[in-house]
Order: sequence, then structure tokens, then C-alpha cells
Amino acid sequence: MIFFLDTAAKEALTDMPPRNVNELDTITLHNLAIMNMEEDATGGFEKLTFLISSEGFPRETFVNLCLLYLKYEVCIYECINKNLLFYFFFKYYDFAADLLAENTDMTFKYMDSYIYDFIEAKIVQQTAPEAAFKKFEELAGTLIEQLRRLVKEVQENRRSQKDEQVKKKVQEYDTTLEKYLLLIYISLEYLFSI
Amino acid sequence: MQTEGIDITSVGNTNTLQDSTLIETFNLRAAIEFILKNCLYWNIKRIKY
Repeated sequence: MIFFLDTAAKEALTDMPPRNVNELDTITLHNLAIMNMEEDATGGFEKLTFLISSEGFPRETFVNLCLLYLKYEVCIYECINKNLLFYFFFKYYDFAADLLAENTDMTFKYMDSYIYDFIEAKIVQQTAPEAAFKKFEELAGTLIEQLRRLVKEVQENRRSQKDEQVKKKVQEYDTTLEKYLLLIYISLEYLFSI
Repeated sequence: MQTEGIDITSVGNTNTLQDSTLIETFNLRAAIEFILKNCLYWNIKRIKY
């Protein structure tokens, strides 16, 4: 089912009237890069890097590029002799760090503080796992407070029968909970590794 | 250019294409399908654990 829905998203882009790559608009180029990351990560990164260097790119591009740098890894193999092949996997953490350092204006413009702190902690995790763990715990603490506040707000809105507000707050609660679960997962991963 | 192994010539960025808003529609459809996939993925994960 997931496979089916995944191809459905890609099909929507291939069903488009055909145009050459240099004729594509920024949104189509961004979507093409995101949808085809699994098959062609390098091509996807090229498209997104090109986009952020051009004018009028979709505002999600910068955050997506930073997050994708953390997600994907590159496989480099080296042939030691005729029979032995060594594979090295490394992630684009340095690229993410450089991107943040070189584009501080974009960081403030397009990134909220939670995403920035999360990416920063993930980069720090490579060299100082303990410091990153503390950072993730701090982030989890702020999310817990947000979750408590949202529960209160949902209850208040239910009492005053504001259905639309309840719906909105429940959705907000769900997205915050997803972020919180991710942090818990990362923290557990660290605790099991020590 | 090639789509699904078939050679296709570009339609170009014509005014007709712009007026039809086909590009925006297909991008919106792709975004909806992508979000749906992720929602389903999270729900399956929640059920699993």
C-alpha cells in the first residue's frame, strides 16, 4: 500500500505535460527532487542546491535540503586489490553544517527554532554524543510543555463547544507528539549505545 | 527528454499551459499523495508498536 501511494505521488509528476529540465518551474523542480530522493539522492541534492542559489525558490527548500542531508548517506567504495572491495558509508552532516554556517540569513528566515536546534543537535551528535543527548532532552522538555498546554486548550475548547478550534488543536497535538516520539527514539538509541 | 522510456518533445512554457494551471494541479496532487503516504506510514508504525 505504501509502495502504491509512493508511486502515486511520483506519477502525478510524470503525468505533467513534458518539459525540459531547464524549463521547469521552481516548485516542480523542488517536488521532483523530493520524490526521487530514494532512487537518485545525488541528483536530488543537485536540484535543491541549485534552487537555493536561485531567486524565488519555495520557502520549504532550505529546511528540506538540511533535513535530507541528515537522512541520506553516500556509499563510496575503494578497491584495495582485485578481490577486495571496501565500502564506506558517510552521511552529509558536514554539508548540512556548512549550509547552516554559510546561510545564516536563510536560517532565520526559513527555519523555526525547533528545526534549527534539532539539526544542530544531530550535527553535534557525530562528534559529541553526550552534548547532543542533553540538547535532545532539552528539546523534549519544551515539547512536553507544549503537549500539556495543548491538552488544556483542547479541554477548554471542548467545554465551550468550539468544534473547529478543537479539531485544530488536536491536529497540532498530533504533530507535536510525532516530534516528541522522534526525540524519545533518538535518546533511547543513544542510551542503548553506551 | 524521456518519460517512462519513451522519447517525448517538450511542450514548452506556453501561455496556454500557464492558463490551464495544469502544472499547479499536478504539483498539488503529488503533494497530497505524498502527505497521504506519510500519514499512512505513521499510522502503520503506531499500530505496529
